Amino acid sequence: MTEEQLDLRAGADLILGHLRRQWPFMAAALLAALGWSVARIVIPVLTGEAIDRALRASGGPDLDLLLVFAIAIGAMAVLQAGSAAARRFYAMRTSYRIEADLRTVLYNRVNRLSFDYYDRTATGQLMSRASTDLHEIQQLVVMTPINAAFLLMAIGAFLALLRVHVPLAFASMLVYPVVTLLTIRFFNKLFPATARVQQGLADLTGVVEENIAGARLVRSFGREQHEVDNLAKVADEIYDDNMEVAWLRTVYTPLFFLLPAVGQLVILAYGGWLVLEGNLSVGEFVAFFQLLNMLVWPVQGLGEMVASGQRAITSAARVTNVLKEEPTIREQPHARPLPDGPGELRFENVSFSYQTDRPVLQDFSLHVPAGTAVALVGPTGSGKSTVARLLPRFYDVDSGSITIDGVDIRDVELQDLRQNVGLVFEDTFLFSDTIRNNVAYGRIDATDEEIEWAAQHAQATEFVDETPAGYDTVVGEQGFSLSGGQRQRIAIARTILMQPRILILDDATSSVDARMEGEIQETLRRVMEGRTTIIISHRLSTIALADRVVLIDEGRVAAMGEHAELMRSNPRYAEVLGQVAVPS
Amino acid sequence: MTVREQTIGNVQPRRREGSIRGATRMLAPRWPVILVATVSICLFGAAILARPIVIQRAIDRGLFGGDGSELVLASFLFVVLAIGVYVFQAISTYTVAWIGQGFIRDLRVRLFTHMQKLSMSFYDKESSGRLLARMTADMVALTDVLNHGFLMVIQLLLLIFGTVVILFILSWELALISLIVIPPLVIATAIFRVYSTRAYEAVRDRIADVLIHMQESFAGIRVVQAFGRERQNMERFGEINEANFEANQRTVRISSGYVPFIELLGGMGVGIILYFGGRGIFGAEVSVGTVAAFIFYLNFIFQPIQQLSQVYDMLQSGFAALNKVFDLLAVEPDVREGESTKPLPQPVDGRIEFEGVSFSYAADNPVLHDVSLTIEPGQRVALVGATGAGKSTIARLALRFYDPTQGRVLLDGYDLRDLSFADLRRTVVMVPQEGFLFSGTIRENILFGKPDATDEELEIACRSLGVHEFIESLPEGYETAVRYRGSRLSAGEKQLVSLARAFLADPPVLILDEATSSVDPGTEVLVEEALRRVLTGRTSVVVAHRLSTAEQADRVIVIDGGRLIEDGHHDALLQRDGHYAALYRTWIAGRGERAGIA
Repeated sequence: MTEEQLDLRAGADLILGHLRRQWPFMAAALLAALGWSVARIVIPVLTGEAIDRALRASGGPDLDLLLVFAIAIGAMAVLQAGSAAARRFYAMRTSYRIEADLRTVLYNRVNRLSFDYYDRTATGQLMSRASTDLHEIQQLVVMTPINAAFLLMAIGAFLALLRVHVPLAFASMLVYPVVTLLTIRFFNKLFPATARVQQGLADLTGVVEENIAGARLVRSFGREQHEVDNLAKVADEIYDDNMEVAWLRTVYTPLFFLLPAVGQLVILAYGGWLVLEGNLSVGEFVAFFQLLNMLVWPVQGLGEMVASGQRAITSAARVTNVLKEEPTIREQPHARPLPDGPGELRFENVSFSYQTDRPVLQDFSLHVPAGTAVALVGPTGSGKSTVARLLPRFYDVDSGSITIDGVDIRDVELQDLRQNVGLVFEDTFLFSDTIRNNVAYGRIDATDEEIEWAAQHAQATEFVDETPAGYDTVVGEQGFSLSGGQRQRIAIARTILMQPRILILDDATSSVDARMEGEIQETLRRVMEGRTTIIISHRLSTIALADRVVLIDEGRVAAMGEHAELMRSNPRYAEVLGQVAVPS
Repeated sequence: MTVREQTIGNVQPRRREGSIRGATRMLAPRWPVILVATVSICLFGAAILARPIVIQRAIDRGLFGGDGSELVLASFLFVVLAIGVYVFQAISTYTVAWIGQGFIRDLRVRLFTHMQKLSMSFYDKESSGRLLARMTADMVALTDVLNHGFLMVIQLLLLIFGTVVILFILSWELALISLIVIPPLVIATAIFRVYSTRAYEAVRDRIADVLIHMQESFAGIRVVQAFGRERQNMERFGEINEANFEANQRTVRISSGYVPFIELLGGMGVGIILYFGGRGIFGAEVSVGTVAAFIFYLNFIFQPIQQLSQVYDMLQSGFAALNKVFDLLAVEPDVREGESTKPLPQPVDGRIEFEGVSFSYAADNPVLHDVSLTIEPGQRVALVGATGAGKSTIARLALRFYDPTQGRVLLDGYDLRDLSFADLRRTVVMVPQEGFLFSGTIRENILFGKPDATDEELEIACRSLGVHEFIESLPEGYETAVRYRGSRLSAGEKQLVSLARAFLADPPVLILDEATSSVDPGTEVLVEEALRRVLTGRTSVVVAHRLSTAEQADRVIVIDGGRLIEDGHHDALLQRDGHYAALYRTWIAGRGERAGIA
């Protein structure tokens, strides 16, 4: 696997662009953060003043002044609370908004891309872009205002300290840059370690999943101990990685307690000496303590933010890699709907390759008269499935052309083309949705009658009625489990409902069992009536549905004719079909 | 009805070890480390709590008293305490992790080992998703509790109670008045917890919707585009995504209300302490140092109470997870190795007998009725019948995946229940329907049948089965990695590997579940040839889905409605002109239709 190229600048631009779009909310959050930090600095300053002026006033405590101070502190507390509410609200809102927006953009982009992209991209990778990477960005955005506020607060606190006593301010703050640097280091080390733990958990899931699915086999071969050993190995790895994380925490977390204490010690010893010398008041001494305490969070937060920013920019760069992909199949500006016609199909001198150096189809020509059915037969890798994939423009031909009723498919609106070319795949993918919605997948506006009509034609009604909730039964990965043959029939119903002009059956009967096969054949025969059909199959009974058979070998038409005739005249044809010469 | 909520198989544990007791028993051997951890946590808390006292002393005696030596003493104590905090925190962090991670590791292995003993009846009832959750999500919840939860609870409680005690010692009058802010804090936190729990549950559901929709759209993108559903899907996703945003917004609103309220209380607390401290309260004088210490200590109560509410959630889900894990550990296998097993005399003949066997998976739905049958050594038997007739059940009983409800299953005259699992599994081996492969290399998959086989043995087995050439033709030969469930190989190729695995194990009795789906023509010939060779020279029972398999068997047994209705050679059964003959005629007719085009 090749390492993904990351453009960090593009990643940063992506985040900044979205932040700019949300600027009123971001500005509100920053403003609120400012108010919050002012309040948080003023409260300890007021406390110090209150001690010096009201409590230690010459001639005993000045109660009136003390009340004024207490009320002022209360007012500041209200300001602090109000601005904290606004800051949290706007910061979190902005971060979730940006996350949701990016997710939509990402989803829509992936939907528009073409098959060549899906061929080289794993679903899991896309999912991790849409979840983990977007989460990193969200975390950075939500932290930004509070850290901006922290930074302001730190500056404010430092200025306040300077106002009180310059040397003491510098001396007590000495360790704080170290805290920031250590925090960055800590998170940069912690992150890969926790990622390893996550990977370990994923491995463990794999082992357990397999063990459950293969439980019979494990029992049958008496391999329980082997399985336990396997699991223990993974569990040990997780243990080791977790202990590495624990070690990092052991080293760093106490440091985050120790270093600020150094600052406090400076105040206690140096500041205390200053008080004894009469160069610092007791109130100022107490205020120093409070202000310094306030800096603990900001300096750690700053470090955390730097580390989080690095991760978020990397994540954003990965997201931009998806966003900058362009669909290779595009609709022409002058594209029009497919004009009415009987469905005559023509491949003219078509060449095609998935990878530049390995041609799959070479100078392939085929004419399928309207309303007839042709079966494509060929060994694995001969290109017969490729022929089926070119017709709905999942890929574009490298040279040559494909026409339906004389119109080049590249001049037809994509949506309309695909409505007119119905495919039944070898791999029947159903969505976790009701049977009804799965059947209506290509025609969301279909009526119940139409859906039942399609199900009936696909011989699906019988088992649909037996499912817990009939057409409302949820199927798919998350739902009621259907057998391969049942899934296949729903897939056929889904295609029939679109009433396509051209029908492609790509190994459509491969997982239908022998008993159902006969019935499905009958169904297909009916469905194919009046439609131009391409059949790809090894099953003789399915091939028998076709008017003509085309033998494809190494990307070319090697022979063409009726099945019986080819069986007699073409030894390669019989060989490809696995010599299914049945004794008669 | 969402599927995620469907309940699947409630397994009743027979004797449940109390989960806390069970966990305690597992933790007990680590007691010295637990002791060290506990002591260091307590000392850590004490050192933190002592710090403000030192500062207060420095202010009152040193600064106000003008005593320089007090200041030096305070500074010295402060250094000692800081070092104490560092050391004890480091020790407690590491020891707690060591205890917790070790416990989780042991529990994982224990649970998984237990799962290996559970019977097939259990796996029939329990969904794999739930079992997976026991090994993953529940363990993570437990790790959280053990690593952070306990440590935090102890530290936080120590801090809160220690602080309250110190405050009362310093000045009980001021303590009483300043702790007024605590009840609203506790009440607000409790209310917040209720609402936020609900809101976060909603977020979890909504984000699951988002991820499921994405996962399916991406995995099924070819279908999406083939049916031109991109636009509608984008609209639908927009809605789902927006619902997730709204759910998040709700948590934002809730926490935007709570957190500032806490800050407000904190600010109020400072004001109250300052005012009453200065004024003196209940006639008592309060020193300035005490006021400073109070303000300092207030934080020690405020943050811990907020954090405790988080830890409470963590503990709750941790205990729930622990209970679920111990529930599973308490499930006893239905099929157990007998107390005193009889050794199976070698060499094994491979005679299988069913004596009046009845069986049902669920109590009210019998699958087999009084089946009696003897399969002679070396015989090749095909079981034929409609889906649900009970032919697979017969195969499973012969493997002792289940025990009969009535009657006995015998191997060479021994009741399967009297044999050791080791003997039984060496003797009776199955080849699964879909050629199940584990992730790993082809070699590892074949060696599954006989882990100690040498490379020569492996190659000889594969050669004599006729699969060696096929394996060698793969990109990396025997070292070719197959992914989970062998997704890189075709159905036929998986069957070949699966047959090689059984062939290498070389058991006297083989149970084979024939594949229903057709394989690619190229490998079909290979599979049939390999199958013929695997079955030669041993007792075999094939659950037949194709009558061509029955045609080639020594003996055909026809099952219908859980009863054995016909038994004999293919030719004899045809002559009898009964159920089998009828089945065969339909099949031949279908084949004839196919032949007709040839």
